[in-house]
This record gives sequence, structure tokens and C-alpha cells, in this order.
Amino acid sequence: MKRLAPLLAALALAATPALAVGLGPLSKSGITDSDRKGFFLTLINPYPSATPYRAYAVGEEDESPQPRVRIVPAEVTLGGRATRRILVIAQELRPGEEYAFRVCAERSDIEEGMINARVCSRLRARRLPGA
Amino acid sequence: MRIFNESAIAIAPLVALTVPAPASAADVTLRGSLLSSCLLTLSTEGKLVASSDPTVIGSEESGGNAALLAVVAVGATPTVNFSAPTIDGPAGLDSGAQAQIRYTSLGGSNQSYTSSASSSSQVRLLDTFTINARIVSPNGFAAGNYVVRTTTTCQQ
Repeated sequence: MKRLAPLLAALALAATPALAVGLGPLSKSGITDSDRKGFFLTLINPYPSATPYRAYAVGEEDESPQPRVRIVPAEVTLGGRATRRILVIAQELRPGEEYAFRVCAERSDIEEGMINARVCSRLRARRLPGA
Repeated sequence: MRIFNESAIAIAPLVALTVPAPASAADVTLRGSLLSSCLLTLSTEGKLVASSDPTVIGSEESGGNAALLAVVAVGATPTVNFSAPTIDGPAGLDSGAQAQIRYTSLGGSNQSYTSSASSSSQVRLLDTFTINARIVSPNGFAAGNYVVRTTTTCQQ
């Protein structure tokens, strides 16, 4: 308990956080026999009040935008302490292709601050080879 | 006597329905599921203050403060990445000015001041980072507002 005290104190300070976001699961993979593969992720609002978030796709190891990925909804306002599933669709998969990318979530009304906090989920879609 | 036996057989199921079973025979099950996830909470914004010399603006100068970032992970220990810090400053900012961050965490992460991207592999599911930042400009600073920015990413 003594070791946990500083952490609990920090979490207590987080009662009215300056910035907060949650997302899960942190990784997911799936196989499809079509040119599309969908994934559900869960966006989490730790704030006690409604907060706007945005989700976007980037490369597996870089920040390059991923136009082949569609996210529904890409922008959403979540009620206080609420969660919501978002649908991520990897499109234009070629037969036999394995496509890996990340979907990141963050507050969409980021103020002028030092830290931009975000959570990213690693997704991997594989299309079966054509017959 | 035969009539009594038939009645007893007919009533028996009713008795069984109305007499409560012993408490020890009842199973009480509470179930729950947790989503593998990561939650980042920035509880305190950092504040930069100029040093006395003044070639440094930093959160560790007198009057400044560090940023506090709590990490709550469920399921697996994540990695927390920090992008290379950048400066938002006024026009006339010296081209030699450099942004740096350093951080420590209750879980044992310890990064000295760096201007590059860095990461911390978590060894625990709950952790809190203390993040300091500074701008070093050997030629001094133009008047205006300065912000050091870094993107903190929780991922596997």
C-alpha cells in the first residue's frame, strides 16, 4: 500500500484530468476471403463529462495516413465515463495480402498544451489467397 | 390406506416446490469481463519558466512544474512512446533553439533530457510519469509564448 500511495495520489489528481483517452483492445488480427476486413474497437471516455474524440489510421511503424482504412465514426462525442464501439474497415485487400496498421484515438479539441496523449491499437488483416 | 398413499404421491412435488432448498445448495456466481485496453490521463499540464541567465526555458526552473501522466493498462503491459519534442514559439525564435524532454515513472522508467523520440516498455499495468521539458537557446529568446510539444502514445 505504501508503494501504491503516490500512484493513487496521482490518480486522485486525475479526477478532473487535463487530457485523457482510452482505447482497446491494443491489438487485433483477422482473416477474410473478401477485399475488406472489419474490426471493432472500444473508445473510452474517462472524463466525467461529454468529450469529443477522433480516431484515425496511421502506419504500423510510422505516422503515414492510411487512406485504405475507413473508421465509423471517425469523430464522436462520448458522454461522461462512457464507452463506444467504433468500426474499423481495412479496404482494397489483395488476394493473399497481409495489411498491418494502427488506429489511434485522441481528444479532438486538444488545447495548447505540452502533452498530446493518444492510445493506438495495432490491427492486422489478412486476405486469403484467391482460388 | 391405498388412497392416502396416492394422495401423498400427488402432493409430494408441491411440497418440494414450496420448501426452500438449503442455502448451501445454491450457487451464486458473479461474472465480469475486462477489455484489454490502455487509458492515458494527463492530470497536470507542465509549465515552462525562464531561467535567470536566460538561455533556458524549462519546467524545472523556479516557478515551473512538470506534467503528470497516468497510465492504466488492462490485460498486457504496453509501451509508452514519446515523439521528438517540438517548439511552438514566436517569430524570431533562434534557429539554434532545441526542445528537450525528460521523464521518470514510478515503475522505474528514467529518461534523461533528449531531443529525440524515446520509449518506455512498461513493467506494470499502473504507472505514473513525471515529464519535464525545456528549451535551450544559447542566443537567448525573443519575447512571446513558448510551448514544447510531444505526443505520448500508449500501444503494444
